Amino acid sequence: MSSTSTITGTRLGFSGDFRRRLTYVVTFVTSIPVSVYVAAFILGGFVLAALAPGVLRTHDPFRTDLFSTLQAPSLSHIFGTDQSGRDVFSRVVQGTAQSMAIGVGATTLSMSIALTLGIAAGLGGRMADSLISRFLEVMFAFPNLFLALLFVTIFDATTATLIVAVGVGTAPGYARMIRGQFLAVRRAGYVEAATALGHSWQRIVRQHIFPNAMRPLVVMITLGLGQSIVWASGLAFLGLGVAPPSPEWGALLDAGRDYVVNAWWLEVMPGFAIIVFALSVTVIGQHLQDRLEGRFHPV
Amino acid sequence: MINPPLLAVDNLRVSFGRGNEVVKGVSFTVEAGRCLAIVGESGSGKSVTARSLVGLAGQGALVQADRLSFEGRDLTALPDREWRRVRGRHIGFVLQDALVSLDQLRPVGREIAEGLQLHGEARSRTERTEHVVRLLERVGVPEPTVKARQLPHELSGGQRQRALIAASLALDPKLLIADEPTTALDVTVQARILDLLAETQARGKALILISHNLAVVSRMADEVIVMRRGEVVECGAADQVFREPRHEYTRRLLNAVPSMHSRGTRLAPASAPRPSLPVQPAAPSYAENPLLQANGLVKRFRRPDGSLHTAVRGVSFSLNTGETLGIVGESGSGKSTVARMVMALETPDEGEVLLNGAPWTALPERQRRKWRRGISIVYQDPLSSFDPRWTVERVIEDSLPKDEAHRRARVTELLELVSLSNAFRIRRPLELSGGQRQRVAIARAIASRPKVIVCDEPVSALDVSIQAQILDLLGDLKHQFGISYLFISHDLGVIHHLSDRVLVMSQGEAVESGDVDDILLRPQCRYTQDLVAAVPRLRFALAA
Repeated sequence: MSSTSTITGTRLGFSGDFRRRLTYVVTFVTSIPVSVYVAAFILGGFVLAALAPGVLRTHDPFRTDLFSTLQAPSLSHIFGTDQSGRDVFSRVVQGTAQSMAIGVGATTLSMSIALTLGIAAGLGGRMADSLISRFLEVMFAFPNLFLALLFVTIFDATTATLIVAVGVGTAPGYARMIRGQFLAVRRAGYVEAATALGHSWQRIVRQHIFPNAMRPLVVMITLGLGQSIVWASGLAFLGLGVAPPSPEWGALLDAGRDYVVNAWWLEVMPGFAIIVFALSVTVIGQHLQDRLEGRFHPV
Repeated sequence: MINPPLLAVDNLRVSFGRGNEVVKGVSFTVEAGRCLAIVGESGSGKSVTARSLVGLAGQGALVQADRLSFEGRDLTALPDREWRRVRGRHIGFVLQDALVSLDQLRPVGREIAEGLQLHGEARSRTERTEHVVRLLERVGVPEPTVKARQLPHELSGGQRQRALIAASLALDPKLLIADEPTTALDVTVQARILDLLAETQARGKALILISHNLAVVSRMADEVIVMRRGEVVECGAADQVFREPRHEYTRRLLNAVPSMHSRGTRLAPASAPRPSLPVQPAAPSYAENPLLQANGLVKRFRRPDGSLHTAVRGVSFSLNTGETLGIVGESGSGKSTVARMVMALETPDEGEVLLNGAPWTALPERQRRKWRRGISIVYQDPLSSFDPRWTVERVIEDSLPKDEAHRRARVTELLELVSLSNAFRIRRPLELSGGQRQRVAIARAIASRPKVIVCDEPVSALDVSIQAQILDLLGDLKHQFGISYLFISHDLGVIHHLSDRVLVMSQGEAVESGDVDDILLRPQCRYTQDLVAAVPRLRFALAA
């Protein structure tokens, strides 16, 4: 993240000589918890799978093999095979790109909507706040999934519709959190202190309110990434996901549903991928959060 | 045969994890009807010592002692269950903060009754209720039957503390341990709570009092233990410890207490020589207009139920160049609201504040902004007044005037002025101690070279030795730069130490004002008399 590198930058600026710089880098590197490295490694694997699935997959994810259907995980098929004899591991790898696209896309969309509404409500004065808050309450009256369902039912289920459906469905919750953040930071002691120093409102908003209100956003985004993949999987599980031959993770879950009694790996393995992905993103997000809040310091 | 002491503790050690010993071998005995006080600053291990006596040392604490006996019975050998019975029944514990310690969602009476129920006392419900009402009555809670049914937040701070004492007395214990029982309370309320504890003691109970307040301790204690960093630095009879402290640290603690006697003296031992910077001598205060003038300030707030509450009713005062005006009052007296109006952070409903004889609060914010550098503020809680992301350097730099050249050098100079080394520039607020934070807050306040600094309880959250350093620093800056202070505090000792004139506030009104010695030594108004009388004083004058 850019903010982390700025911290590093200022700190390095103070220590002139090379040796101190080196010591700093070493303490910095060793001070990061192992869990973060593990999470980063796993996430790297997912990114690799998304960008170049060919490197990781062991079989052709679309080739059926009727002689080896529904095989339990083994050395030749580490995640087992499905009802058509396709290698589950390779399918999970192949589906990563699509699932991540949905996660990133939906999170980006929902954060954009949420930021616009939340900031307008949090900084725009009483009138804007009550208008937007009422609107959000109306949105909350619908169950979250309902909005997404509605959307997917009206339009065809493609990756794009899924992104919009999940993005719009999760936006109101984030919008409300962001609004609360801005309202809370507005009342913070340092905002008052800056007022007392004679700084202009624009400057206070730019220097204090914005950066502080946005801090939880890093975690919100990372949690949102995992969550929107889970959402998309949920829609797919209901049969509203991307069309069947595609190995999107949710679609894999949906397809494996009928065989869950005698082929657990069809559900467990894609589910495992979703959980591990969400978990590693969260671990990294949490670490960034601690760092940004000044709770964690390498030196 | 000599009776064994009520409680005997020998070489008590408490540690959290390996190598992290917070109490390093404390020994003492307590006799029935006597009061033992443990004093020390934060981190001295005084609270942990007291808490470990009732098994509340906290999670992961390893408590060891060579001897721990109660009425001659060895407690270290007792199985856990027995031990719990002893301390529940015979040792009462009064916790520090009543608002936190009482269950928010349970009527106060039920909380007190719980102890009775657990120890099989007063079996029927009506019997218990009666008992609770009797206890509340005894500790001086008004309308005990009504209060017993109310929730903690419906009681005042003093009443809550009384309720806690009632709870700890419920089982008629022989020993009462009170951990900072009056810390969050106003002086008049504190005086009544101390009376209550003294009365309990007079009825034959032993008392262990934990406090950072030396005056409170000198009023109550028969024996004193002074702790520092987990070790006992001095112990003995109270009058001996206070009159002729043997240890350097005790002497320093006692010297650090601000009072009328300490006026014009330094409270902390001089540390490194202060940098001599160009002195801007204070202009003599014969100017026609006072520097700051408040005329008939009124401020009303709307309560949650829609009714109006008048926080400040017609307060007027003036502050001359180079002068310190102390505003003293108890919580809810409106003194902080006055500070906020003076800073133009709150607009008065009536009246106005003039700065240098010109309109100040009456100006629109846009016009006021450029004058704001002439007046700055130091808060009680500096931490919340710093952006948590910012380094010390950025905090101070941010308050420099736009046209200030050599900004880095100026930051260094300001840090030096508040006796912080250059290494602090890259620290963040959370990485500073309370005293360091307040120093940074002061550096920020003087950065714009203001004429007036409003200090809103700037030392109330600090330990006495740190408080002494900060008060010395404020005094030095005043002499060096001719700054005027509007100094707000609930602590009459601090006010007396620092102020030239004083304004006493009660329930939003200025009840008395004038020269500090006149007001605090010869108060005319009834309220001020009560306030002055309630202040605990060091009972023993320190031998020179």
